[in-house]
Amino acid sequence: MSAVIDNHAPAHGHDSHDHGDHHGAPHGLMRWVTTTNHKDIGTMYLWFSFIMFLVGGVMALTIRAELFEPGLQIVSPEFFNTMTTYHGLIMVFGAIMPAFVGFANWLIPLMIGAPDMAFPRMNNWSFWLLPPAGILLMSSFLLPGGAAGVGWTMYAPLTSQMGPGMDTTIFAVHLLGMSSIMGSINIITTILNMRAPGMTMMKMPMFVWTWLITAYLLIAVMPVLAGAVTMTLTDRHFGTSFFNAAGGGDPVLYQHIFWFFGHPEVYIIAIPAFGVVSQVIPAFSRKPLFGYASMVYATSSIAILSFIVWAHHMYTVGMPVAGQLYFMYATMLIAVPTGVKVFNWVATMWKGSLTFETPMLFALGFLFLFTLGGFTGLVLSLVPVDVQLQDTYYVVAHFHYVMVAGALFSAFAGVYFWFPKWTGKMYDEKLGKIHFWLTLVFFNMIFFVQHFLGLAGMPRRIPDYNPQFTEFNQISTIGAFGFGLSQLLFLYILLKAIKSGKPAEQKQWDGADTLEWTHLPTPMPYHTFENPPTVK
Amino acid sequence: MDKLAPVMDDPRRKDNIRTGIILALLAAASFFGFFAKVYFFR
Repeated sequence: MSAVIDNHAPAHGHDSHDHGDHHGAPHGLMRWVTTTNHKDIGTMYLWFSFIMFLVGGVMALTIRAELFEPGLQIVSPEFFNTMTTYHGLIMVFGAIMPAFVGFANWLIPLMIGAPDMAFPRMNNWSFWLLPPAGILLMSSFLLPGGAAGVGWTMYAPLTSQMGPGMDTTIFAVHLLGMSSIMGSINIITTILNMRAPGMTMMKMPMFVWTWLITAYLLIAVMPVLAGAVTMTLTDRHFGTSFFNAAGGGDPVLYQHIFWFFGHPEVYIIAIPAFGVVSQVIPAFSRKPLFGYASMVYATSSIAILSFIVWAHHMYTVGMPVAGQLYFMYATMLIAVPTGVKVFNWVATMWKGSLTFETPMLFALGFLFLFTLGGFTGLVLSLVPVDVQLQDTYYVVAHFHYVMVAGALFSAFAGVYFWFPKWTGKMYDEKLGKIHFWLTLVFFNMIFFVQHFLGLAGMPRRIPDYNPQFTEFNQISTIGAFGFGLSQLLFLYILLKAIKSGKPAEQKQWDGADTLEWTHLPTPMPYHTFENPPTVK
Repeated sequence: MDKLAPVMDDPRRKDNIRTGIILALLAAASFFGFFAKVYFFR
């Protein structure tokens, strides 16, 4: 961030900005049900996402256990399909997205010097739509016919053939979408209207910029997903034929609508992850972010380009060659602003005074592995290659490098980075580093080998496979169980730190320069910046 | 029970509501616009 902070503002001890916090935090269950405090709501988002991460993780382990050997051993093919479906839905909508909304809730008001989010009651509602949505999603498994085994993309015409579990899933997606849209309205309004005096747009920390861009993406495309699943619902129950060929509809239309949402969704997940990394790398390099303005423009460019590349997910549906060529070239264009970002992160570290605490390790893990995931994305953007690799494990490997090594590593970096500020307690650095190395090694065990499986032709979403794929699948499954256990270590690290962590310093990391580190004591008061600071 | 977040008394509250309504209308336009496009111009 390029803002220069007003040094007249207090930097230590109890802050005169915070005279409102003598109210303190209320106690008991109702604190969490009725809270309008952005910190409480951010905390709830983060815990909710972690719980959903574990639920989705158990589903992933079920998939990997079944794939340990060729043949059918543990689950039926129908149940296997539901596992791939709900693993995807839960991880995307229940784990990764809420995790970054949690970061947004905690950090945006603090970073721009605002007293809270612009709409605190709507903020409460945004969060409390999530648990019912999660329950609705899981209740699909209890309904006649079981949950929907349609894949997280919910393609027609399979969706027309499912039992009532499909309807609960559609309603859950509606609720999750409403929550995201309300959250986005709140975030944009907060950033546009509630910045402290002197906090101009181009002085905002990069994390705030990334969320502003992401929130616009969400407002543009979440309603499109809502429209797509609503049309699916009316096709199922109200006699329409949007996607039903027998009634004059077109199943490929669904794919166009879904991916018009789905590709920006990739960046809805990735861009806030960029924001976290853009705070962590400068802090541990003890240098300002290299090329701040170009980072803003590159992020905006990625967001705009994300609207015009959707059909690269569906090269094989039978589109004209001209269409394939357009989507191929447009997709390759995204590598340019993404390259700018990667260059800037590396240049930030260049000649920096680097240290490698846990947040920095996860940020570096992100940098290497997300770049690899981006590179395989570039490979898949090539039509002749994609026609070969469509629906193989190469695609699974590619998007897990983006989603896990990209988004999840960034989320871990963010939690370790801000945990001392949020809680006032320091986590066990040694255990944090062990968590990183275990996660890194097991992640690559799971997914690196899947590139080879895909190149050799192993199809995704199938519970059985040719025996020639056995060894790589066994490596992948062992890696998956190791990865899952490593995340229990993460939970232990958090609980241990909360219970008996050493007190954290006001500015735990030397290079951290945003308002929450420079202007607020550790631990933070319940209400902050009731009188805004002045940013020079 | 704690007081509501301090932002509820903020002088910028009216501006916030105006911005929020515009953004909500954008979201609604995205939903109904896309739905109408698919319904009428398939």
